[in-house]
Amino acid sequence: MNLFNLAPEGLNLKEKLKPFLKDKLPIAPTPYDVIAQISGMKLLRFKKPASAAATSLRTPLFIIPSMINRYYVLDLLPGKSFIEYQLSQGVDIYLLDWGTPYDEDNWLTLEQLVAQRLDYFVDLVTADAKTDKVNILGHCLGGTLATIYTLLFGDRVNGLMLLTAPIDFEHGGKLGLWVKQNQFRPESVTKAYGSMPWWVLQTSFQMLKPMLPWHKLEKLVKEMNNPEFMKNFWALEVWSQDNVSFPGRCFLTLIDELYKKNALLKGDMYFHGQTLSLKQLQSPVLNIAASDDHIVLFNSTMQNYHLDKDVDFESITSQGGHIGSILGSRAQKSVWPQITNWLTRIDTPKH
Amino acid sequence: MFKWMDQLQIPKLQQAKTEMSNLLSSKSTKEFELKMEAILEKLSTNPQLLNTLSIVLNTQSQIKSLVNFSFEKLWKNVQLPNKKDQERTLYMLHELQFKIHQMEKEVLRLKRPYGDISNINQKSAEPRTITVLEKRKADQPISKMV
Repeated sequence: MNLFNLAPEGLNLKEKLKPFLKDKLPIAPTPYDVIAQISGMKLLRFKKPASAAATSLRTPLFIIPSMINRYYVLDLLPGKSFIEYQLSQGVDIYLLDWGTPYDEDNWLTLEQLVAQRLDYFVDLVTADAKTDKVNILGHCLGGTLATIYTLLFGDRVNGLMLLTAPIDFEHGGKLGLWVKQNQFRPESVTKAYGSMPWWVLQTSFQMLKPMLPWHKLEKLVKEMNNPEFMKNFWALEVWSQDNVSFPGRCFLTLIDELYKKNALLKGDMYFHGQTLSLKQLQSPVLNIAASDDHIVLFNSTMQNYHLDKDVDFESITSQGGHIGSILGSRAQKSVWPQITNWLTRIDTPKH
Repeated sequence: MFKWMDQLQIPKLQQAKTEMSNLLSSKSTKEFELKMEAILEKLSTNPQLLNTLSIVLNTQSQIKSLVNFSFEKLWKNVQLPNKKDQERTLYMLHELQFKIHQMEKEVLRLKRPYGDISNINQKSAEPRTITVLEKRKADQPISKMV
């Protein structure tokens, strides 16, 4: 937080609470190395546990998380971590931690973010893993960026995995309705703050399901004596409150091009000297959608008719909401192994 | 985690917990929830309310822009760079470095003999240190000036 900007770019709850929680709530437990850092963005390489499968996949998995929240929902707690599970199955995992955007990141356009920064990080991943291609997993808005990246640099992507990622913004739900209001002028907010402040985003997400705090309270009272529930509950609460601000110029493109014009689906998106259309996508795609998602509606995720009929497309519908569908016990038993199977199937030999 | 509540063995606390539990699972509470949910759902999709909220956000942002503008003028008058200038400079430096990286990749691609796809990533196997970008620590602001 700097002197004249009263809104910090993010809460950084994970970092602030770590000294107090320690062993009681070991959030983001999987150890990693930081390979590179550009402003707030870090490229992480997760360390495999000793018990990991002896044979590992040849192509590494590069995870692009959502830009609105922190990445550690995919590495929430020991035994409840998607990253920990995939590492144990022999998948090499790299992750782009968006971190908290620096002030200069507010000048960054969505095009630069995808065509320059993501491409630079993919360069580093391929170099570190000594491969030519990566498998990309995009979570939520990270999935939208991953799709755009794959359209631009398809020859570098072995397979694209979308985890509750919005593609068809015509079905944007309440968020889509809100941004289309006459009086909603994101440019005035980004002009004043540089970014779209985290507290505006957090309030908006809370307004999506206004009764959610009440339902949480109900469940909390019922399950108060269940230590496992309490642990998961508080870990998820820390994560859901740990929002970060969204870089200003990127946010304006997101609203205008995607939410208002639905340009990605319509094939009207002009990026990096070319017009993008989902029909150009050639890499195998695995789409994971949640049945009861109130943030990214089921209809707004990628469907087979969005793509060319020759594309290797698979879809999994997971029971639950935006997060429950990834972290819930049902997801752990069925979705996580299905992801590993898919990764194994598309794994290509090293060149 | 909240076992301490039981361990305290305070009868009134236990009683309050039971009463709270009963209240939340009662029929009237369920009715209240359903009605409240319906009302809030209508409110959150009401165009008039949404536009009013947008106007509040716009006005607040415009006031902040005005304050920013005054400070920018102030710094300009004493011939010092303001926060925006410094942000833009850092951003341009980033841009320059990425352009160099992309040009290096292009040069490497052109250097390879026709049809040779071996060592396609040899150059990028050496992660370049981005010196300018890494000097500043994560929580250190660019400047205390506006």
